[in-house]
Amino acid sequence: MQKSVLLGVSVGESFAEFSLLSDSKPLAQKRVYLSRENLKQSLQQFVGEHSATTPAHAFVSLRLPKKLLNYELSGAVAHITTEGFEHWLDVCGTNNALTNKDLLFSLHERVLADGRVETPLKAEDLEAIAAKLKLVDCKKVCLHLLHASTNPVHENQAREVLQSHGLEVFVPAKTDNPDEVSRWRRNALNATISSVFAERKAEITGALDGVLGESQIHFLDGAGGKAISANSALDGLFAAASALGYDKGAGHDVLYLGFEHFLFISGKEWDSAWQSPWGAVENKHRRCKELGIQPTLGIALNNFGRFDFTSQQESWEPGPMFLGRGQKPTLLDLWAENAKLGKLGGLEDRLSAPGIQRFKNALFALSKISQTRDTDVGHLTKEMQSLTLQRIAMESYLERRSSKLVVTGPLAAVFANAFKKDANTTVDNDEYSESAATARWGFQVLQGSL
Amino acid sequence: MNYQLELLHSLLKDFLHGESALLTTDGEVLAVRGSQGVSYGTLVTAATTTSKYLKLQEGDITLLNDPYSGGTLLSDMTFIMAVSEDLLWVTRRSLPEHVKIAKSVEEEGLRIPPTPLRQKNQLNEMILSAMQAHPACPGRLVDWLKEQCQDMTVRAQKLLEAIELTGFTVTADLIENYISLSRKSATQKISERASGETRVDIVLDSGELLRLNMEIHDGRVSLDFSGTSAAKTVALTESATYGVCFHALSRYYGFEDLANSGSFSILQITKPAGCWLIGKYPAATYKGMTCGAAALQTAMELALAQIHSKQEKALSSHCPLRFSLRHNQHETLLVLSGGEGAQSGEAGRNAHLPSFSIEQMERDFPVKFHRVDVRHSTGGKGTFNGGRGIVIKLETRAEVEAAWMTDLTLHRPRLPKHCTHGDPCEVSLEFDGAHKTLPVLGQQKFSAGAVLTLCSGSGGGFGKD
Repeated sequence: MQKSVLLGVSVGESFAEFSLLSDSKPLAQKRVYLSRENLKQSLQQFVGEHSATTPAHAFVSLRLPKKLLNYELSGAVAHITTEGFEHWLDVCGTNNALTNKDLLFSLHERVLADGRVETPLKAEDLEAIAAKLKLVDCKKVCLHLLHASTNPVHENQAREVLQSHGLEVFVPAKTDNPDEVSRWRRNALNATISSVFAERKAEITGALDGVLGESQIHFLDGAGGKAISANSALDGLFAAASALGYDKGAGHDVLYLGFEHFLFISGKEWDSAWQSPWGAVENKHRRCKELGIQPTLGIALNNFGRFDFTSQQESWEPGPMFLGRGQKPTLLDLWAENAKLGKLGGLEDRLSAPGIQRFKNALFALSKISQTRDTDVGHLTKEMQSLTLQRIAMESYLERRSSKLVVTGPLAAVFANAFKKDANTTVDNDEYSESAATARWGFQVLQGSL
Repeated sequence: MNYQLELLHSLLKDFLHGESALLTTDGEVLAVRGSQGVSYGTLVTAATTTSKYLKLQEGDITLLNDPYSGGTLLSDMTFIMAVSEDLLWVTRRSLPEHVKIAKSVEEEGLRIPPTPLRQKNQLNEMILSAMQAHPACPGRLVDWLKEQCQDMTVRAQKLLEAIELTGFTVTADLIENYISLSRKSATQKISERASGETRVDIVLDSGELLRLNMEIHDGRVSLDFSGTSAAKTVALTESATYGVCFHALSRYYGFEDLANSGSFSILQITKPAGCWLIGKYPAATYKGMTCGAAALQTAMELALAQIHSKQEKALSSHCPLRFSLRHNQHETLLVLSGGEGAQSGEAGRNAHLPSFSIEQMERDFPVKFHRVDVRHSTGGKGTFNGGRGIVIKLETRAEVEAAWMTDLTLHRPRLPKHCTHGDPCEVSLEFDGAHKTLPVLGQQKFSAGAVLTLCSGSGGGFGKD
């Protein structure tokens, strides 16, 4: 790899991480807590502080918040399908609706499996739909016509008419995947998040304005580190995981212990679909799985009346109790007094003494009604910490696909003891591995494409 | 560490996926997991039957699909593996299923009694060859079995490593404590809700009567099926009956993640000899394991709704519509689930289809889909409507062979006073301008131009207007 200065940016749901690398080695790194800091300003400041070192390229992995995948939060999307299949995506999905019932339309057209046109598409039907969309001020449309991948004549015709009315048209990408459901679902989600992606992209490119041109800023996908656009925003969902698998794995497994999630990544296996809350979505990425134990799991009494972790993850807004605003005790609160935690980027100077005390009070109150009759909060904390470490180790052993495991991420150092008995596990203390891996993987792919 | 119980519980949860169970070689059930009610009884029976006839050494794997030995459908293969000298792992993995209407289990397909598949780290090639030679052997079965054995061996090894490397010791005391606390928790969850007794009668279309007397007292549940008739064409096995009853109870009271010997002990079942709930070889079991199990689940929910009259819930449509299509070398099964029953303050949830590709179906079969949608139900109305079923309308473009089976409980049971019935499953045919409703189960060839409409049932409504 030729010597080059690179900028890696990894944006998650609640934290963003920046790494400035020279010849693949970190020059400067930073993490920001997005609930308290602005992404654009933070990145601008980070780049400004190191203005003497201008990066040649920036590589970005962008994991959009799952809550923003809800169409209500990111603009209405209309769906146009072949007549009779208006509800196909939802019927074939889960209880989470992906489409808005008021914005479902159908076309009286039919292409057969062999590509023959059985019922030709009438332009006036499209005009009528376009007029209705104008009335409800809907700007984005998904086109899901049966067998359009075999013969796209109606799809092209419809796209042309709708675009002529100023509508943004999303059609499923042409791939080898014969299953239209996962292709349509991917298209629907891309349409849903395109504006959020565009906003995030504008923040990042805006922050790097004057430092890097748009062509030097690469938003990576999870399949091969290729650049993505607003129309394929969903492809970036697993970019950071795929980058970590490439960078840390070298064919081995990777356990990423981050603030937002504990993720087990396979260094050598790939998944072709994402099992989303709406059903399977076409999305190639390194095989990865969120562990059952997660950093923001709540603490409560279980069926036996004993302390345990709930299955519900609390969000980072307001976050764990040690940050001062959280109301529910979480797994990370158990480490609130651990010196390593308080020094981690993004959390430094944010730990609140009253918040930590409130957590202890909450634990004490629970202990009074628990069956264990242990009201020593210090002892309880140690026991629950021990349970956490055992569960992380246990689950990662069960998930292993390779003999070697690399544990990385900001919390790797905090939970390193979980793997002390395992000679095949290496704890990598690179706190900013996500953004650094993004930069290294992106650059590798870029070089390969040159 | 004092939290060994929680660690054991999470280990069981992380290790057991799909329909599976972990038992000690002494027969103590540590956990059963699965989405199908029948699994909660059959997986345990599969392990005990195997242990009775075969002495499994560490790493050995036994296979069965015989419903009378702890199997369910013949397309569901049950593997029993000795993970260590103390632990047995039972897991069920499925081959493609097809609607099979037959008079005996032998006609339903290849029936495999407990058969040693892997012994002393070697696959039993002789047995595999014998299976392959059987005329009813599904294609690629042997290769598939080898893949499953390989996967199970790897997973079992990981389990042992996980236990060893984390220094976790699964002692007899820990197991006893876990089972005892599970029993206590299940008893408490039941006793804090209500007690009482009730009777439910459900008549199947094929003429069988299901009579359930349920008694709940002091956190224990007694089910008495006295009065249930003998099998005519529907038969369920004893272990499947137990599983369906336990699963319905544990889901209702919220202790399904504590399915083990402890919670099993709260349930007592009395069944008259010869009734269809304890079918005997060689009775066919496909109908029983599908429609029969659904009828039993309905009876359990109805009985629980009657006892807990303040938390009445309308009946869900538990029996999916199964529709098999065959053309040349292609064969597929559409499973249309039914809608969920409504309850006070909440409408029932609509049914969903397991994901399949219409485009692929149209490429593989001479059919053209006209419509796939939620059904426009006329039943299941109330202040809160029942969840809707699914409707699929398709046209055949050349001759195809089809077999189907719908809900066999079209004789509607009496409902709690605030509930209404949903729509039943329905299969209808339009051909040459004529329209007719097809029977609840059947198999026939349809020539080109036939338009079939398949409707799964909808859930019942709550609150009469």
